[in-house]
Amino acid sequence: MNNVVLKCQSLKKTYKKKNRKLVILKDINYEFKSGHVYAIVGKSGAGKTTLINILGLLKKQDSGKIFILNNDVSKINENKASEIRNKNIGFVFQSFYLDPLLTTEENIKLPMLLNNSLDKIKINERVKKLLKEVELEDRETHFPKELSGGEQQRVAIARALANNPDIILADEPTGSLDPENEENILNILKSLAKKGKCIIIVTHSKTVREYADIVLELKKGILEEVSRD
Amino acid sequence: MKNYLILILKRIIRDFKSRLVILLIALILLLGTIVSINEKTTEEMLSKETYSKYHNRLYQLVKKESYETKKKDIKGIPHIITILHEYNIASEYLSSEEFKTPNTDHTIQAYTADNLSLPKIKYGTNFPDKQGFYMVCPINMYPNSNLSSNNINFKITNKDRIDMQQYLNKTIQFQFENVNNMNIKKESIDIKIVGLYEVNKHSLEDNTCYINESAKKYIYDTLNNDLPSYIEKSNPEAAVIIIDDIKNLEEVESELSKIGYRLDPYTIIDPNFLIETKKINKTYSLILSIICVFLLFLILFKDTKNTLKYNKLLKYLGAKDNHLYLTNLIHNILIILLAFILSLILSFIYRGLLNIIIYFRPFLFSKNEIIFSITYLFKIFITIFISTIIISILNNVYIKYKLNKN
Ligand SMILES: Nc1ncnc2c1ncn2[C@@H]1O[C@H](COP(=O)(O)OP(=O)(O)O)[C@@H](O)[C@H]1O
Ligand SMILES: [Mg+2]
Repeated sequence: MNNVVLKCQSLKKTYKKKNRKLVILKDINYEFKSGHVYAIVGKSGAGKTTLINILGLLKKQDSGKIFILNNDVSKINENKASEIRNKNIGFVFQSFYLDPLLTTEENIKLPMLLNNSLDKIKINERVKKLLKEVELEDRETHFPKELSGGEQQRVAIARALANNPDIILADEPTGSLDPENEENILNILKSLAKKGKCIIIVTHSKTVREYADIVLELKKGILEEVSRD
Repeated sequence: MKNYLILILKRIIRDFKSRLVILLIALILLLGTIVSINEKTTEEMLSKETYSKYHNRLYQLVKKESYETKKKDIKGIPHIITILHEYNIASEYLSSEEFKTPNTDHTIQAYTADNLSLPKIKYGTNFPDKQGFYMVCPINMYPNSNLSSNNINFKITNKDRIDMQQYLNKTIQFQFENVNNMNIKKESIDIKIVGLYEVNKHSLEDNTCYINESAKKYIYDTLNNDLPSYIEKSNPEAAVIIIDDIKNLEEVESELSKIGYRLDPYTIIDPNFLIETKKINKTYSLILSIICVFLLFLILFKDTKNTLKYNKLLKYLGAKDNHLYLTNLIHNILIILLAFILSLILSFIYRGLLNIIIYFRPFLFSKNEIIFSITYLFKIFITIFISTIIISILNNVYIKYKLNKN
């Protein structure tokens, strides 16, 4: 608890578009600790998604360093990045991003199948446990289109937890949900933080700000802690 | 990996679009089967020893003349072995009490032959020159009139086979039925078994025996004498000649044309037909392959948006790039493999239906008269398979570019 799981140092990212240089991230420095829920707020176009993707090793920063569990991952190759994504990071999206052709159970299994080291029995046990955690035990053979939005997002959270990662990166996870489902999802994320995960949520929502332990604002390429309201 | 493969398979089967593609390609491959059936069936028939040794030497002698006149006219023309009444060509069913076994009707099918057209004799001799009724049989004979019995449980069992060596050089009494007559009447003939041959894939069937011309003539005359008045006799003037070798056909033809005769191949299969169908089949397979490849190309690239979305998801979940490309490739290969399997199933059903419709044979358990070429299907499949790999690689290059763009 409370140890630094994700650290960024002087992160910088610019996009070039039609000869115009767009500085999105100017100088990001922050240490994310386990056991906390972080809310990242900021105007649309501020670069929140870009930041999440860089932290999730899907995008390369122009300069600066990222440490995951005290390992410098700034210069690792694509395959190593994939491995870290698979084992240490879970993603949750606004649009849920479930595979429509797979059942709840299979969607949750997917990251485990990409991780060669698990055997079938372990996988099935783990799926059962995760389904219980998100309260979807009786929905395991449903397809995404047979589930409500809130249920789909719970499946997505279970999937993000599949390989028991230390970090959950959630890009507007409640953006498509009604208030009731929003609270439900936030409660789940909050309880995960209590179990020692580091939860990073990009959000516009006031409710999320209230739930978060720490609120960060991304503004003019700088990330700063702000008060909760 | 195994679990992951199963997952890919499930995704294919659950996807309506993939199912449609599989069905489309399977139907195109089935078309391949359908066009190949003629070729394969003809090829198979032509490969039979009896055909190549005998039937392709049979020619109908065409001119409005009596049989006797024809017989006189061809005297002295070289390379003609003999002249027969047309009716001498058909085979006869002969049964014998000697060949009684538990599950058969102790009946064999007897074709007329001469020493040139006989299969290779393993034991005994060819037909002797001496006047008489002679027969050549398979070494392990299966004495049943129908080798693909209408009985569903039918199977050729070894205990029903007869080792014919015990009958070599023996004279056996055979019965044949006068089926033309309302009161079926049994007639008989004594035939000496002079030789035995080994059945191989070029032979006709395990109940095929050969009798010499005099035996055939005896059977025919017996039947014909007893013909009731309301049955029309087959044209007694129709004549068929046997030439000694197919090589000499042209010479015989030109000699005969001098005296106003024309030759028609007696058998239904004209070897030229095979060459023609082969040509047509080649064109067809080319067209079918091109359609398939075009279809695959269209579908794979049209579906790039979905593939991209799925690949992006897999990337979020920690899939390595190579894994993505391999997954896409396996996905596409599985689609055409499934299409191939489906086309095989459809082909078998199609052949089964043809067998029922044309030959009134039961579906699965009969020796099929219709042969379809799995090799032909395979050739088209290989073309499509290789194309799929090439298209998938191209598609992957495109996807890689798209994925890394943002
Ligand atoms: N691949 C890209 N190429 C060029 N510009 C981009 C690209 N991705 C995002 N941007 C720009 O960067 C800015 C930040 O985008 P984003 O990180 O999605 O913001 P947010 O999630 O905070 O709304 C936007 O102005 C967007 O247009
Ligand atoms: Mg965004």
